[in-house]
Amino acid sequence: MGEVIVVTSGKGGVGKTTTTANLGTGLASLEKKVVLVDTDIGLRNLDVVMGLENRIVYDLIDVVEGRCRLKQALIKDKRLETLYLLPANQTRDKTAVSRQQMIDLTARLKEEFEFVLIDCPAGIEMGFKNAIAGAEQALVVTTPEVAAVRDADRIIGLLEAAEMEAPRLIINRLRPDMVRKGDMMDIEDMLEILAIDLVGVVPEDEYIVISTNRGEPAVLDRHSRAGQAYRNISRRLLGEEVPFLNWDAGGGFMARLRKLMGLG
Amino acid sequence: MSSNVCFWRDDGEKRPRLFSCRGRIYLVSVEKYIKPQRILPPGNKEESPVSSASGGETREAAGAAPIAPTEDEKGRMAGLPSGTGATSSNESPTSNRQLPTSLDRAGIPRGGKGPNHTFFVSRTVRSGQRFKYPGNIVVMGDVHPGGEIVASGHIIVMGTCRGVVHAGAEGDEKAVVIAFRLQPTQLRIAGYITRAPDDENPGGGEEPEIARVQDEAVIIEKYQPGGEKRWISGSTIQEEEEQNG
Ligand SMILES: Nc1ncnc2c1ncn2[C@@H]1O[C@H](COP(=O)(O)OP(=O)(O)OP(=O)(O)O)[C@@H](O)[C@H]1O
Ligand SMILES: [Mg+2]
Repeated sequence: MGEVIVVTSGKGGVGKTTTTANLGTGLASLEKKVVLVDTDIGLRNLDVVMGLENRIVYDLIDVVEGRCRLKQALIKDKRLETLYLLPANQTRDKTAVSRQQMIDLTARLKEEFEFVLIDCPAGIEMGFKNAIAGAEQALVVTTPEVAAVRDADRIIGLLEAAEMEAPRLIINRLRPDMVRKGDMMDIEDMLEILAIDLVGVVPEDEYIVISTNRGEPAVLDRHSRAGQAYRNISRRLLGEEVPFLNWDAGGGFMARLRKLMGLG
Repeated sequence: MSSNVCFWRDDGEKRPRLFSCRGRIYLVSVEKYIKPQRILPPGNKEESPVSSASGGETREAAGAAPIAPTEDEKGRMAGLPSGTGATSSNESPTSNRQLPTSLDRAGIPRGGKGPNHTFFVSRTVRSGQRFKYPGNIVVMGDVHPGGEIVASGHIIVMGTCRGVVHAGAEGDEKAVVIAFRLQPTQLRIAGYITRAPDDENPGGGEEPEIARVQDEAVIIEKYQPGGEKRWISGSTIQEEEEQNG
């Protein structure tokens, strides 16, 4: 039985799709059998980020409405053997699928795959409720901005109410230079507000933009700092203890972080 | 006429087989064959999901019949001899269910089946928009990536075609796709599904091109004025004229 993990945030555009694509690719490159499920019906992106848009014949809605078999709708990644994508439909909207259908779907997927990663749409409405319906674990993505952290807090509350296992935090688009100047919230501030476990910090990295446009997840690029961060998070999801990247943020920042994380 | 295209067809083998190679655009088949199913005009009681359809437009239960055409399209359709319900889908699910009524209001006779009729889409088809018609479709605009055109007959795009197009969706392998610039995400004719290979840029598009099935492969070649007569057979045009009296 695989693990079903939803990647969510509340606020839009903070990096859910980027995170889903990179962690899925990261886990698959560690030889795990992974399926990515795009639940952003009507505004699908994951297929484009994965560079698989032109392979879509059937989608999630076709599966839940019985127009095709689940296997037919799964798109095999072009780079990794053990990675698959179940794309969202682009012409319908969030009401096209129900919570029960998502529960049934994820139950079937986790029989086949070790990891089922669900890319959640922004917001707290139907799309969010569907995305979390079949998930046992959640990764909450936030950026170091007050509004994003506020929304993440709201989401964590909703996840707790839904009796999800303790959600874990991913901080995305951190800029150590700005943190150093005091222009950006630092990790410690965010952890204090959100009070959940941190599973990774992904720096702002222009390579993300390049790789997103190319349809090649940054996690596969040895030179990308964000890619390195995603590789580390993938390993942490497998239960490995991986030290946090040194952001060189100065001011004993790393030491404080290590202390916070109980790493020394 | 020389085809300037390279095509792969899956053919059930593990490795795609090269079919013909003479030039710029390359398409690879995604899946060997999907069983073509009939596209029915909306309001018809039979089930009518086309192979890859997201519609299910005849099913109330699915709660997602395609929406009524915009005012613009209604006007267009009213001008057709017997426009029998092209369906487009996007936007709100509530408006979705109103297609039959809207068509009635537009005063379009319903029930006539129009495999030889043509539906005009007089705007650019954007991501998430989908047009489906049991006849030919002509798009006066572009088809963006994420947009989809499904016709049981031919598809002509008077602009750049970057989305998914499916001609001959009920299984007519004689159907063709013509576009001023043909750079589709995916191009389907009858049961053939093709896409460009991963390591190539989409190519093409400098001049109008035509895609059709020949010798069990989809080929794309330069569109030559007058040449379409060979592919879009004259007899069907005649038939339509007779039908219209
Ligand atoms: N670490 C990063 N460095 C630089 N750019 C990033 C980073 N993470 C994400 N981005 C950029 O931010 C934008 C939004 O990312 P993404 O689409 O993953 O967000 P999302 O949360 O899925 O959005 P939505 O709520 O619309 O689904 C993208 O353009 C992406 O390239
Ligand atoms: Mg997204």
